[in-house]
Amino acid sequence: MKMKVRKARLFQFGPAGVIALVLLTLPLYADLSIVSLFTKILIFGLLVMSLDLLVGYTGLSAFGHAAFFGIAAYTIAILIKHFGITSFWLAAPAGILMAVFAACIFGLVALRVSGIYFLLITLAMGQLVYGIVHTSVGPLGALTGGSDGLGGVSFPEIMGFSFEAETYYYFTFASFIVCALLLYWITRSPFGYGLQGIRENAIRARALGYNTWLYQYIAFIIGGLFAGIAGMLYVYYNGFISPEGVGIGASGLLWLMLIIGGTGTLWGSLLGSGVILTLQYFVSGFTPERWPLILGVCFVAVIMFYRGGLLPQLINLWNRLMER
Amino acid sequence: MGTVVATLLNGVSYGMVLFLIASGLSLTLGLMGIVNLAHGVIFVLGGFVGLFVARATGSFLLAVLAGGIASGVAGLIIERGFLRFLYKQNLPQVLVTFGFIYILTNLMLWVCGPQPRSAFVPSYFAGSVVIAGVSFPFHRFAIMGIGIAIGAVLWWLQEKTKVGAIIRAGMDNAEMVGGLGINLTPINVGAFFFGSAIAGASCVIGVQLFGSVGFGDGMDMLLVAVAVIIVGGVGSVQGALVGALLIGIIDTFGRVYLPAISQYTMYLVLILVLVVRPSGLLGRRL
Amino acid sequence: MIVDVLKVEHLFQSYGGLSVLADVSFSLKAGERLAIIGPNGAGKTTLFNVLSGFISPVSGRIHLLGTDVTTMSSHKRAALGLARSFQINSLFSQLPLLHNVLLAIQGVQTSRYHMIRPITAYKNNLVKAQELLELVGLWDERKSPVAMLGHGQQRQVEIILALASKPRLLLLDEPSAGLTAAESVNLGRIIQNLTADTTVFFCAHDLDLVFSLAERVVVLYYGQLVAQGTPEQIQVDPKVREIYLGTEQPDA
Repeated sequence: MKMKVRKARLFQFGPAGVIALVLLTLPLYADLSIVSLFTKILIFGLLVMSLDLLVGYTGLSAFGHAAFFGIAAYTIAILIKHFGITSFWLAAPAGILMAVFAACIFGLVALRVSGIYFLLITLAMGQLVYGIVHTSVGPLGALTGGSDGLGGVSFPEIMGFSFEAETYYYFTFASFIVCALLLYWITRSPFGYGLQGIRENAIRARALGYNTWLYQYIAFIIGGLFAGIAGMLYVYYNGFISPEGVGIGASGLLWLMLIIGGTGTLWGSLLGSGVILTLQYFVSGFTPERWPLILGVCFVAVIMFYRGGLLPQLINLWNRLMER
Repeated sequence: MGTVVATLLNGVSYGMVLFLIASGLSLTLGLMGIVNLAHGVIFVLGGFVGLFVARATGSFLLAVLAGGIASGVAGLIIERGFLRFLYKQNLPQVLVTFGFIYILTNLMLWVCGPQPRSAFVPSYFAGSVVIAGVSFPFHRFAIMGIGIAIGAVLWWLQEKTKVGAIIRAGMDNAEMVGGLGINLTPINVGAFFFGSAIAGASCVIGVQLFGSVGFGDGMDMLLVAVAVIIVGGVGSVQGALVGALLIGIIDTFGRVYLPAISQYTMYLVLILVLVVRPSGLLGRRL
Repeated sequence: MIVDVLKVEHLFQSYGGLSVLADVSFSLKAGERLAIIGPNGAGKTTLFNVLSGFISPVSGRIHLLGTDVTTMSSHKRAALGLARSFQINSLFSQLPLLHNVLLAIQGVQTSRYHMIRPITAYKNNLVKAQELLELVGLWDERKSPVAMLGHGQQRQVEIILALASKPRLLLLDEPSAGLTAAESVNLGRIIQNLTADTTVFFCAHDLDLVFSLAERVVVLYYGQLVAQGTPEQIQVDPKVREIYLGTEQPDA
């Protein structure tokens, strides 16, 4: 009996263990461009997970999520480039705090309405941020670099250790694991189930004593926090941030990753990020100018025919294989 | 004084274009509970087709018609080809229209190239009028006239006809109307076609105001239209009109008197309305 | 001093000119079991929605355990000790049965904001959840999403979610609707076994249940309270007979 339980656990967590092992040893056998691709996959995986907390768990259709990612990235790039604050321990927390601060403000406005209207307001908020960083004129343009974006950020130096592409991959990997576990714990906690209860039936939740507005607001801020962390990881990785990483196009891309991976599954987000970024990696090799068209067709096709998501389907498949 | 009057007139004519764009968006939102996020791209599509026809034929009327039909057909394809299979699933429907932003934009880039198209002003709209010492191009009055005319037709359709009664009832309670044995499908299809067509036509008309239309304008216009319907309140011609005029006028005044923050005046209005009255100025409860 | 658990004074409510509640006043003493009856459309569900804070009354006051809650939001009333069930099942359909109950228990605890330990790690709540689920014989179904349960089972879940927070005042809106006879008897036993510090206010069409459980009955007719008294008094009240004779026979 005990043997059987242990076997079941092994089968259950086996694939996750194999994936973790592959990711952990990646720089040993893969070339630099692949390591770089996977760094990006992990960063966007975390970003999409933070969106899943809002969409999949809380039932909030947030459509401006890339804004928080961008606010953190821009804050860090501006601090480094214009203010010479190169210390990771100053710039990174400042970037993340700015994202959280923006989430506190945007949440207050957006949570005045619900449903599709919430989607529209968050979309407008996201475009507002895009508009601000896209402005090329005036002191603002000088600060953000306008449509050219802002570059010149190098891998960070933390406690005397200078990161390189491979070592930064490990830094990203570790950050991803910590953040993903935190998010996972939140979704299983009383608070997390409170969010899911509100998603399922907000009226009942209120009758039971849940302050539904406060729950949604806190979830929105947590989403902004982890999106900010992803933005911090991204700007150090990419060395450069442009308005394209902030606007509605970026936010929509996150939705595509979320739905492909499986909404409300948390870990599916990493899968969705992997699928889309790998596809982009290969497509940009031969027809980069048609990438948006391919993306749009993917978008429509996935929503029309494949809303269940990859992760639930893979889990089903695995379970069926194991039962044989 | 002269500048104030001119700015006001400019604001009103801009508001009229916004009204035309937003009315289609408001209609489908009220009726079907969905927002067509591709509405902005459809607006640009109408402009491109219309301006091509204008250059080819020299006829402004034909251009407006062609732009309207091109946009209407695009809307029709999205509704008939895709949205109807996601009946009553509002979020997936909205996401599908988002996918069409990528598709339509990239296809148009492929076919037409990235250059913006400049306005076509027919000879009979040329010339200007002097009001309070400021010269005011005649086509701006034409835009206002067309806006008022289309607005009046829409209002008449909504308030005085049987179709309008069904639409208003459908906005209140689609299931109830369905239960009465009234088939809402043709009305939904019609709303999508005409909403898109008016957007396309309004681009051909409104581009006289903007000078030119390019791909970036699609997203900008979508956002202004969204702001208009949220400020004005969803689901009525009057709401869209009030929201459009308000945003059109405030935005135009912002450009003249507060150029440093003119990009954000629209958002300030939007946020203010959301805080004070989340259902919009003339809206029912969301 | 003993305060009334619930005191309702001159409550008025109307929808678009149609009066739904007109000058409704009554009160509940601690531990009392009060039933409200009346034909369909009498305003019972509206009254429940006003009492639980989903609708604000046009005028009138509501006091819960001595606190004026007339304009208080639903979740704060819950924290004061008010719980309710819904006439139409109102559950967390996609969540497992156990988590539905845990959410209900946790709704009035500060631990509802905790974010690190899993919800199932709160052992005291788990024990309470087991007790509640065993009351209705559904402990074995705890892992199924409630949407997978049968209608009668969901009805019973609806009731235990309302019981879960150990409320001082329990509002039950048609608790027996859709239950089999056996389930209905079990429900009666559950309500009867509630300790005296739970005050119960319920409405039901099932007059058997009303007359067997209630200590006092009020009758609502077109938004007005037309009679109140003990079950025995109500059964012989000429006004009540007049209201019910044409439509339903109170052959209790």
